[in-house]
Amino acid sequence: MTNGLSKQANDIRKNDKQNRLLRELVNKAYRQRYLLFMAYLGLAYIIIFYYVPIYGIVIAFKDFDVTKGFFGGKWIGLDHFREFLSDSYFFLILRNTLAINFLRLLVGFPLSITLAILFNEITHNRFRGIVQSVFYVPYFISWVIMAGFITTILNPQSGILNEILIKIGIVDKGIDFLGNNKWTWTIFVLSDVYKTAGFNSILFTAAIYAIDPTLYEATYIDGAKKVQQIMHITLPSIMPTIIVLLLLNVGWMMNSNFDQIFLLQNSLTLETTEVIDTYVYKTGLKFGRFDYAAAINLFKNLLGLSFLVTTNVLVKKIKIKTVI
Amino acid sequence: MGKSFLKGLSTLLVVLVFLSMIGGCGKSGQKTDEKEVTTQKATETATVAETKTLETQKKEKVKFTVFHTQPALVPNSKPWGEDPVSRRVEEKTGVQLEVMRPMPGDDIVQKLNMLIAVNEIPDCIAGLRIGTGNIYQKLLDGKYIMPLDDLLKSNGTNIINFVPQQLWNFVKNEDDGKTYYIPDVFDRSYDKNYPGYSMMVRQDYYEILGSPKTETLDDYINMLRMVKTQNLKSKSGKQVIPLEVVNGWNAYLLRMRTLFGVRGINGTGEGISDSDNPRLAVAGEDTYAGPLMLTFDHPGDIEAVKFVNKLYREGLLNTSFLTQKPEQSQELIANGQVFQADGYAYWERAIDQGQVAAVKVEGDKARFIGIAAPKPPNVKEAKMVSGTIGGTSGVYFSSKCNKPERLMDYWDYMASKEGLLVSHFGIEGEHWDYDENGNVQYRDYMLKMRREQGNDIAFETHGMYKWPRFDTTDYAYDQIQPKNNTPQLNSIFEQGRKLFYDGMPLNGIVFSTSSAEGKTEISMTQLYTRIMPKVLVAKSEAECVSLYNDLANQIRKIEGAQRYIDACNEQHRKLVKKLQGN
Repeated sequence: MTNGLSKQANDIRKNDKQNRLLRELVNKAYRQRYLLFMAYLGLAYIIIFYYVPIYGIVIAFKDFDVTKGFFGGKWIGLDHFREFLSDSYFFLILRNTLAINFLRLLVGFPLSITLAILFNEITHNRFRGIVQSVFYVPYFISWVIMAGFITTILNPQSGILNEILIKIGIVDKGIDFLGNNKWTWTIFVLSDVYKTAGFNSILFTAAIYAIDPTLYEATYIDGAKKVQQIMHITLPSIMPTIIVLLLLNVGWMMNSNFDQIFLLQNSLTLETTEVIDTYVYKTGLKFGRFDYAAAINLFKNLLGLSFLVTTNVLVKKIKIKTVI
Repeated sequence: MGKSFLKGLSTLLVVLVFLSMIGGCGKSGQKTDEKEVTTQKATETATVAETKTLETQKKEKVKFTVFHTQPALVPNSKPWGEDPVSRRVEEKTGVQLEVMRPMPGDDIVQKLNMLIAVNEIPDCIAGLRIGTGNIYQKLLDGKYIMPLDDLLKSNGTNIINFVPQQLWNFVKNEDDGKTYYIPDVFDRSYDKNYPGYSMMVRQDYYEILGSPKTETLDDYINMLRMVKTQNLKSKSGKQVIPLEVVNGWNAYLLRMRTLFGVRGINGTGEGISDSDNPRLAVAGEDTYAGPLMLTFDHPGDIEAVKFVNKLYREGLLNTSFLTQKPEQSQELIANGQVFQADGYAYWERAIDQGQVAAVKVEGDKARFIGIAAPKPPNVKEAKMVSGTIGGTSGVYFSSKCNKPERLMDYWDYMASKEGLLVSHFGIEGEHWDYDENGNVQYRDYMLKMRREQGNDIAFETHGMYKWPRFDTTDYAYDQIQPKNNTPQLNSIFEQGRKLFYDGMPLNGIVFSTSSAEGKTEISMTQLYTRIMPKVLVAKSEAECVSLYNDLANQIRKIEGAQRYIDACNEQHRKLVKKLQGN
């Protein structure tokens, strides 16, 4: 009997607690209705434009026929994937994709961190603002325009770079930078870094601003120099941010900068500039093999996912807080 | 964060979402406006009701979407109804057009593949070649286009008369015997000023060089060398480049191949992108009937490639021709830095002897003129176009088109004598008059505008040459300029027509991309696109030949290459039979 009463009392208490929690949740949701509204918009965007179209992946496993629609063609399993793996361009485009993205990460990522640290060291606020703006601006120039700059500057006959090289006697004839496989990766990486390094440093700059200034003061009193402060305070403090961004970048490793590569590649340099993204574009839209192009793209995304998971495991092993 | 700020922000978002929704529905909003404009126009045109037939008056206005595969032929940036030509056509047919411009860029295959993939086929597709990216086959397989036989009988009498009977036989679909497109009638005469058979050079520079003859390859190459040795400079003081390629390396190479006697598939050199593969050539210079073989097996092919390589090595051909963008080469030409320009944009049109794309004003002689193409030693005839492209391109009606008979009215009017005159020259008595010889003579204000502002602006303003039409060809010229229809001209046309018909079976060979032949063709194209540029810029002739042979061997070894050649020959034989009416 006593047990029964106490169970009943427990149930009532539990229900009260649940009701209270629910009320609090509703109240909180009402208080934050504007924030939630904005979040729903974002969520709707992701669902509509990212999740809903996923059903299209099915054509990677089909002999897709535009006339029969996504679900009408013949099911051929992994044939397109087998074809891609035995494609004579498979290793070439995989190598180019990985090499260009790896070099971009290798040069661009540390440079963004360095820039953020350098921005932080500028004490004059207005000057810092100007310097930051100068570095951010290239990010807002489209690749179409940027590619126009690059091809004009590097033109072997009339480009300013070749004119300078000839005038100072380094070369006697203009170098065809864009027509030579030796130069393409360098041009891709440097132009990308020039365009994005400043903007990519924003998150690191924000993380540096969040560091407690008393830490710097304490080390200053202890006699630490700037480099020591950077090594022992700044970098360890922003390490979680670095890891998160590194993970995101590695996850994007298979996604080349299509605009840049497509606009700067030409018939002479396909050997070093054809990446998975441009190959997918040509296979799908130029040759009209949508199913094969979908299979290649799916393969690329699976590879990207595997990179992301592997990096996360590695990060866990070296005992840094991970995000997934 | 302040509550009022959040409230404001969310209100702003709602407004933005609302506006974007309105934007998304722009088409219907636009329609309302257009209806109003149409009503206004209808009121205006009512004052000239006596010029209309009773039948046309009864027809309600109807609007069609149209996609033209050759944007250069429909470069009007103004909407329908804002120029006298479109207004006149609408007055006569009751039809309005909306020209679709999906995605930026000039890649027609990409645009059409996209339209098919999203099932957004316009009411009408004009100018599409049946060999272009297998699009015709896809449209046919998917029943995206409708048969036109009945419509032609009921609403297309002018078209039936305009197109030669032999062409109608050719365009009939083999499987069901129906006609799915109105063939374009492109025909070219043997005219030295027609760039298909000539080299286009700057007139003033050519005269400075002493107007040299270019009968042999040596004459030609010496002329280009003179541009350098005489240190020819543009008005801005820049060194003049002897030869600039405007349409990409492959279009140029295909034209050079033809010059060296290689007549083959895609051998016309017109509207070809760098990813196109010349694939197969006919065995002999004149034997259009076949057999077909790999282009690499034709003895003239290596000679053409070696010649282009020689031009490159000597710095006569712009050394950036493989890396620069088309806009950059056009800029060089516009700035007067180019002596010879190879590409349709700088070709003169026989119809009005005007220049399509003007060089920035540098005097009357800063224009391109045609000079005779050189004749290689082993070739009978010097020409850079193997045949004309007519017949294998045309006008298609979408199966989704609601009122195809009205769309046929539009094209039928365009094929009438009046329609041809209006679409090419404008309105009689307003823009032009007949001269004493019965030829079209523009009125003074038109001539002044063309002289002062250029053809493009003059025509854009008035709508001539700016809407989908049967193209400005010698054939159309012949039809609408009665006094020019001399026996001599007819004989020229006869020769043109022979090429025209002979070239058609070559251009008509098409495979589906998912077929074994289609895949082989893609493999060939990929290999060719990757390696041929290197052959062209080889550092020595020996290297050029070696790379060329390597490429040829790799192409021959592609899986299914022989089967592909056999299939091409089989299709070719069928098409020849069809053309002959068997």
